[in-house]
Amino acid sequence: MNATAKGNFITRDHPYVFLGGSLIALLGLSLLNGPSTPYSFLTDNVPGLLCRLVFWAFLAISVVALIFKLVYKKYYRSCVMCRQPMLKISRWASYLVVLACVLALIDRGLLQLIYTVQTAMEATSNPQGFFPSMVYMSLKGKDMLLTGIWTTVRLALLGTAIAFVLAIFMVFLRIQEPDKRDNDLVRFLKWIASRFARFYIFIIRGTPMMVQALVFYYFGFNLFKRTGMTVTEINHVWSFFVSGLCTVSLNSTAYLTEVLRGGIQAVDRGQTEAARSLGMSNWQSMIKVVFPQAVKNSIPAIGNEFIINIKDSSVLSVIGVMDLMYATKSVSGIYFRSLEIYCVAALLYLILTWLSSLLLQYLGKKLDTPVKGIPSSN
Amino acid sequence: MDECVLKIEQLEKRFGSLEVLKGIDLEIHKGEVVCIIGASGSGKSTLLRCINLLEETDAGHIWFDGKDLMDLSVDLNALRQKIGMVFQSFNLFNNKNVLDNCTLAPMTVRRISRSQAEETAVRNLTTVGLKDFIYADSTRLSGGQKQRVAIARALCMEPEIMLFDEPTSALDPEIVGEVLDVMKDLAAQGMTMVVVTHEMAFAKEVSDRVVFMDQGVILEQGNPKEIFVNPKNERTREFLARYLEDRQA
Repeated sequence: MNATAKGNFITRDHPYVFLGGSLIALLGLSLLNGPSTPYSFLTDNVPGLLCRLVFWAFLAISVVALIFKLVYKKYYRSCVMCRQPMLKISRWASYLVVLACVLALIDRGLLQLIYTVQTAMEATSNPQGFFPSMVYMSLKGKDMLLTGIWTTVRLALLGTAIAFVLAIFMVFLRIQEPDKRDNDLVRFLKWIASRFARFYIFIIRGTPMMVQALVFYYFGFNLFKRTGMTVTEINHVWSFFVSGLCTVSLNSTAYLTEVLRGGIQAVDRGQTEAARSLGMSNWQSMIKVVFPQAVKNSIPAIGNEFIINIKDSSVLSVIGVMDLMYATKSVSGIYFRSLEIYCVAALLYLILTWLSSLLLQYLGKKLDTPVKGIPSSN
Repeated sequence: MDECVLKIEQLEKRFGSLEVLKGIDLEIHKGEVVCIIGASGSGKSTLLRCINLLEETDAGHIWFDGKDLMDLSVDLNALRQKIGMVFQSFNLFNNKNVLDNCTLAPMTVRRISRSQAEETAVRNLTTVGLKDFIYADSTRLSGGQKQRVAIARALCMEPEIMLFDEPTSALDPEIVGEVLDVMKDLAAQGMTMVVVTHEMAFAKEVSDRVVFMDQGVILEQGNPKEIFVNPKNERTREFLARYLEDRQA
C-alpha cells in the first residue's frame, strides 16, 4: 500500500471497503426485509426507503468494483475504482451503510424484542413462534421458575456449606495412618477411620446422584414410617427439600473430602517436619499449620463444587424437590411446549453458574494474599 | 565439655534396599560445635534427620536426656522440644507471620502465655537481627531472613541442642554470611550444635570437631585443624582436595 496510508482499517482508504461495506449492507437489507412490528419506524416510509437506497447503492458500487477486479485482475489496484477520490467516497459511503444498518438493528432487533415481550405478556394463549412462546411461558410460569431458582440456589449453597463441614471431618478420618508408636487400639481405630472414609467415598463416587436421591428419600421415608408417623407428618419432617439437601450434602462430602485431601497433600512436607521438630504433635501440626494452608489451596476447587451443585441439583427433581428443573417440567406440562421452556431453563442455569463464577472469582481475589507466585528473593 | 548431651550407637537406616547409614557411632558433648561434612549422598542429612526421628531408623540407639529415642514408649514430642532443627529449605510456616512462627510452638507445646511467648520471640528475633520484621509475612522475606527466622523459631523452644541441616545451601553466596554470623554468635554463646554443611571455612573456623562421612559411615573425625590440614584417611583427603580445587577455580 502507498506510503500515505495511515490509520487503522476503519479510517483508511483501501479497496476492502467494498467487501466489508457490502456485507453490512446485505445484513441491513435482510433485516429490513424481515417481519416488521407496529413499533417499526423503518417500513415502506421515507426513512425505510432511504436506508434501502443506501444499501442498494453501496451494493451497486461494490458490484462495479468487483467487475473491474475481474476484468483487470493485476491492474485492479491502479484502476479508477481504486484511486483516491473513489476510495474516499466509498469509505464515507460505507459509514452511511453502517449507520443505516444500526438503525435497522434497532428497528428489527430491539423494538421487535420489546414488541414480542409485550404481546406475550398480553397474550391469552401460548403464541406460535419459538421466541414469543419462550417469553410467554417464562412470564406465565414466573412464580414457579423463581421458586425453582431460589430452591436451587439454597440447595447448592447449603449443600456445599454442610458438605464442607462434613468433609473436614471426613478428611481427618481419611488421612489417619497407623504409626508404629501408637498402641494397638489407636492403630486399629485409625485403620477403621481411614477404611470407613475410603468406603464412603467409594460408594458415593461410584453411584449416580439420582439413584442416591431416591435411596435417601425412601430410606428416610421408611424409617419414619416405622416410628408410626402418618404420611403427612413424614412429609413435614422428611420433606422433599430436606431429603434433597441431605443428598446434595452427602454427595458433595465425598468429593470435597478428596479435594481437601489433595489440598493437604499439596502442602510441603517441610511444614509438617518443621512443626514436628519443634515438638508439636501430629494433630497440632495438622490443625495449626497444615490444614489452614490446605483449605486455602482448596478454595478454587470448593467453589467449583458449588457450581457443580447448582447444576447437579437438577437431578433431585426426580424425588419432587421444587428446584428449577422441577419448575421447568411443571411449566412445560401446563403449556404443552417443551423445547422452548427447557431452553429458558438452560439459560437460567447458565446465568446462575456464570454469576456464581464471577462471585467466586471476586471472592478468590479478595482472599488471595499473594503467597503463591511471588518467589522469595534469596 | 565432658558432659555428653547426645549419644548415637550403631545407628542404621535403610531406604528400601539402599543402606544409607551403616552403623553410626557419635557422641556430642555439651557446648560443642560439631560439623558433619562429606559428599552429597553420604548420609549426613539423613543422620541429622534421624537424630530427632524425622526419619524412622532401623536399628541402633539415640541417647538424649537420659532416654533412648528409639524406645517406642518414649514421649517423642517432649524430647523433640529440646532438639532444635534448622532446615535447608527454611520451612517457615507459610500461614503465619514472623512473630507467630516463633510463638506457635511455645504456646501450643509448652503452653506458655502469649505475652511471655512473644517476649521470648522478640528477644530471639532481635538476636538474629530481625527486630524490624516481626509482623512481616513469612513468605515475603529473603532466603537469608527466612533462615534467621527459622533459627529464632528453634531458639524460642530453648533447646539443649541445635541441628542445622545444610542451613546455607539454598542461599546465594552473598547472603550466606548473614546466616553464618548468627550461627557463629550462637556457638560463641555455648550452644551445642550439630551442623551439616558444605561451608568448609565455617567448619574450619567455628567447629570444635569435624566429622567426615562417606557412604553411610563416619570415616574420620577430630579437631578441624587436623582434618583440614592433615587428613589421615585417603577418602577425606580426596574430598577436601576436590573442594579446595573448586575454591580456587
